[in-house]
Amino acid sequence: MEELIRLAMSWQDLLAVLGVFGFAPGCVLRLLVMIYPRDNPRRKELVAQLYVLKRRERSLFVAEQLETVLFEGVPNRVRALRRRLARNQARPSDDSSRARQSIGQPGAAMGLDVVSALVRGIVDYRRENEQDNQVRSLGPALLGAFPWMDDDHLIRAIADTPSACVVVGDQSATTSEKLRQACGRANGFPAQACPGLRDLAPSQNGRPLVVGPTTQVPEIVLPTFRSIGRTRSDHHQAPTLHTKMVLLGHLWWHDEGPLGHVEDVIGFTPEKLWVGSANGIRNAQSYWECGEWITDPDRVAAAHQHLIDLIRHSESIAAPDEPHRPDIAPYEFDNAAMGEAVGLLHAEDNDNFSY
Amino acid sequence: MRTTYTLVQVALVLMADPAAKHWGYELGKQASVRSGVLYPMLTRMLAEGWLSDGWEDTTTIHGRPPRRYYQLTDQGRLALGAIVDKARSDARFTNLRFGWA
Repeated sequence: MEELIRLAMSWQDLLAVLGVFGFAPGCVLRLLVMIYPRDNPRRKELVAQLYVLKRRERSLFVAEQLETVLFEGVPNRVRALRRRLARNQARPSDDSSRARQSIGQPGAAMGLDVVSALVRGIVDYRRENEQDNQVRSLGPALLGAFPWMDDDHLIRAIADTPSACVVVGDQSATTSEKLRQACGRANGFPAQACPGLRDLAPSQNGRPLVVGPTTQVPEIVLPTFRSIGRTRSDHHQAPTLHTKMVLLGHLWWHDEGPLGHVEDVIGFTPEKLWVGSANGIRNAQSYWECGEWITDPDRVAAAHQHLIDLIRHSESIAAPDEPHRPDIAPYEFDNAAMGEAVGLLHAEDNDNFSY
Repeated sequence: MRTTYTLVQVALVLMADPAAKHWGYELGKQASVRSGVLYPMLTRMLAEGWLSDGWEDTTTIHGRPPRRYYQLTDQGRLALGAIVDKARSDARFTNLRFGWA
């Protein structure tokens, strides 16, 4: 480095470089990292790193990042520009040609590596929404279904989403183990976020939870991966899952109950739907597949309902030798105990009234 | 990923303490790898699922932005362990110190 400076620069240049890098390294670094695309975490990472260093090391660090920016930032920026140009070119200009739009939309993917487009879509959506610190947002969330799933990148993208629940078909022992491990490091999805899942409770020895007047119904967090379609205990084959979709959205919360009282309420707003022909498997690269991101509200809402139905019929991914035993089910009311409690309440009311 | 000299250097530092959180710049210094080579490599490792990343807890730091850390995943331990193991018997890497067991 010193030799390079000696060879390539006059003493005036050297002074100028020392002046810039030595007195304003933070400013220079902030300018340099702007070469990275806006959503690239390296922007924040390099600036944060600078302030941990001793002052005398900072100018050298900034100079070193010139190379990082050239070899990583510039290609990233070029790729981002290309993507943006491709999106702009693909955007249809004529509203009358709606039938052709689905093929040309930026979210459409066709060919041999469609699952990669799905993974990219999930990761991009997560990054965009994690950076978008909206008030009362609990972050991006995902629901989905795939008959087969063993693609590591897809599993990781799903598990890294702050809230996610994906229903899969009956998998091999190896894949089941992989999915169980992914469940262990992921957050799952709060059932309370979807009205269609709020009546679910942990089963008691395979039977629905019976709720009495004093029972606290536990709020459940669904594991990130659940299975559907295992042989039922009565030896009837359950319907087979054939849906291949991912629904992206965000979780939110507020603290006002339906009657105006203070209550933690959370919800899920779906925004973007992936529908495609590809399973979530590594081998999908060997098949000609298609897939598409859709934002049409009606189709998104219909997919949301369908995924809720699938989740309601799903079960935790158990080890192959474990017996089938549904872990969640809609809770039931203990009508006799409830009636008794209501009777007591009435009697109490009448006593109070006689005063 | 291709087993290069720098990859083995970085793998050795990461595997020296597989459970630790590693900061990019310190990792580069310990492995004697330039930032311009290290950061693209870290990006590739993240994409492979060998590393996970996160940000420093803001409640534990004062007066500076949080740093990004990298941590080996189980998959990464296996993959980098295999790379280092292979590198031990490779003549190209004889001058590296394979200190960890």
